[in-house]
Amino acid sequence: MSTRLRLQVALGILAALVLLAVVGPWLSPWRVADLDWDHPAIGPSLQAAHWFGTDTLGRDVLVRVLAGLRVSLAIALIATAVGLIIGVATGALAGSRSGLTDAALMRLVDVGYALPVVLVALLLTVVLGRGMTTLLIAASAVGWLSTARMVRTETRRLAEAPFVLAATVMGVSRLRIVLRHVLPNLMGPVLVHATLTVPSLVVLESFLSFLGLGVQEPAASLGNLLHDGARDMERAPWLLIAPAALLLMVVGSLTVLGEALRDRVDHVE
Amino acid sequence: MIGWIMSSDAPILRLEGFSLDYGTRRILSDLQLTVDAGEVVAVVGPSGAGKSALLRALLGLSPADARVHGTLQFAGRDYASAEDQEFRRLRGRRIGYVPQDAQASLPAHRRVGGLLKEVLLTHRAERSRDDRDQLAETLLQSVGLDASYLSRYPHALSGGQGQRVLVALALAGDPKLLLADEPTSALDPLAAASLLTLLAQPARAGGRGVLLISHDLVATARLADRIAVLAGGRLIEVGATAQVLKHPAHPTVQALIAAHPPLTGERPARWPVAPRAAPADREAKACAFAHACPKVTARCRREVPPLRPVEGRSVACHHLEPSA
Repeated sequence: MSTRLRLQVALGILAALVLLAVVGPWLSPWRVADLDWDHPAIGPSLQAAHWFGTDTLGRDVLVRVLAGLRVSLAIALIATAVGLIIGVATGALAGSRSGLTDAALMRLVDVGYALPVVLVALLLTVVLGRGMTTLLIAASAVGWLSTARMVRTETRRLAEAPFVLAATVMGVSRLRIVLRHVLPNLMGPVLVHATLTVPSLVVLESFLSFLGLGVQEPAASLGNLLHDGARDMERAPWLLIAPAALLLMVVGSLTVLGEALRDRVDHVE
Repeated sequence: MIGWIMSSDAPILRLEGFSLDYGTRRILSDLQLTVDAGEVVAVVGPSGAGKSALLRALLGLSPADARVHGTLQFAGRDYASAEDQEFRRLRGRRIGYVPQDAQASLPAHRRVGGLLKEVLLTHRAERSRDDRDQLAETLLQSVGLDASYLSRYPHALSGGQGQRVLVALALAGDPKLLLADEPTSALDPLAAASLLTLLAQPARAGGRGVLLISHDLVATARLADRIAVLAGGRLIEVGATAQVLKHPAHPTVQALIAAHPPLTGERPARWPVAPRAAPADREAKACAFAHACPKVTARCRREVPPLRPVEGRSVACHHLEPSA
């Protein structure tokens, strides 16, 4: 497939999923925590108005997976944005300075890489309790590391570029050079990097929620829906299939989008 | 400006016994060179002669392991052992720099006007915004581009226009010394000729000094008042342009100039071969051309020839009799 086509297909699927996640729960007659006493644990059924069936408590699976997708995406996007801000600032600072500042910041990143995410999340739950805040902090703490490394390397590379030398020789201040000459040139790679960070954080969120460290009942996220689905996999497979399929689609389309964007950016450069 | 005292008799740039080491490697050896107000001096020489290293040293942008020996003065002030902080005050404001390749040297995402205003903001912060906008236009006009170019992006400029923008940027801080690094190497001969006229302007009209680095003898002949030939990290001949080009004294300079035959359509019977200089060496005990020079004597292998006055110029060769 051509890069252009891949980009369009991935963007199309992603846009549809995001639209569903944002407006879907409003359009449904059911709400996330509504219990339908007449239809507990039924399979997909148009008659009962549960297109994806219900869980053991009689909650509508369709509305729960859409609301779960919304939560998962929101957490991943916010954590990516936070990670981007911290990572770009750290990377640009480390890349434009040499010696102690650079070494100190990069060793901090190394330490961050060395700590297992699950351990960090576990420790955070001890301090903050389980929930979205914990999840957000854990995901942000992971998200900025690779961004910082990438931005530092790119900043180093661009520092040798003739236009940066020219600006230096024209007497433009170092801060200004970093902000106005170097960072705008990093937007391509940073955008690609962010697009690839979102799916990895969606997976991380699902993983932590699956372990019970993240989003708590009755709120839904892809992770805790998968957890419930896995528990009743043999009796009610739709409980597992719906969130799993959605997770696959969103992570897949984001990854394809990120890779297509990367090919594009490389191509332009 | 504090500490910038221009004494009228001091040259804008003065190198005296100037040497440059990168680590233990000698890059430039014992240079003597001045650039006066209103003068264009060209440093020519083959690749690897140390031209770029000289430029970087003048801008205070040498690598971290670089060491400077001897005298490096701007308008009478010594900068041989200056810190980066002091050089930062020179760049853009006292020394303007015209890089080689406009497409690479102008950031692709910035408009010409934005770049000019940025440099003006850096060096003329005391002026009002309107003043600086006006100044940006004036600068562009001074390099022969009208105000419509302010909103252009670098990719929408031809090679010659890009180079003109670089000249305007270099002049924005009103520097006393203009350094140009092979500014015509990417231009066709006509664009090159008009750019060179433009580069001479600041010296002729503005009383600035211009130091042109080039391996293009045609460009040099058109622009420079004086020529300094650099080979193997040493100056081997320094003199008035016409004199050096018409009657080169040093054997290597002779070969270099013979490699540019006049455009008569006749082919030379054989191309002269300019011998490559031996790499600069701190403990050099021989002429850099001793290995290849047809006139080599025992003395050439024993002693580095110093730059001595010969017939109205300076030459580094044992075979030429110094004039009084």
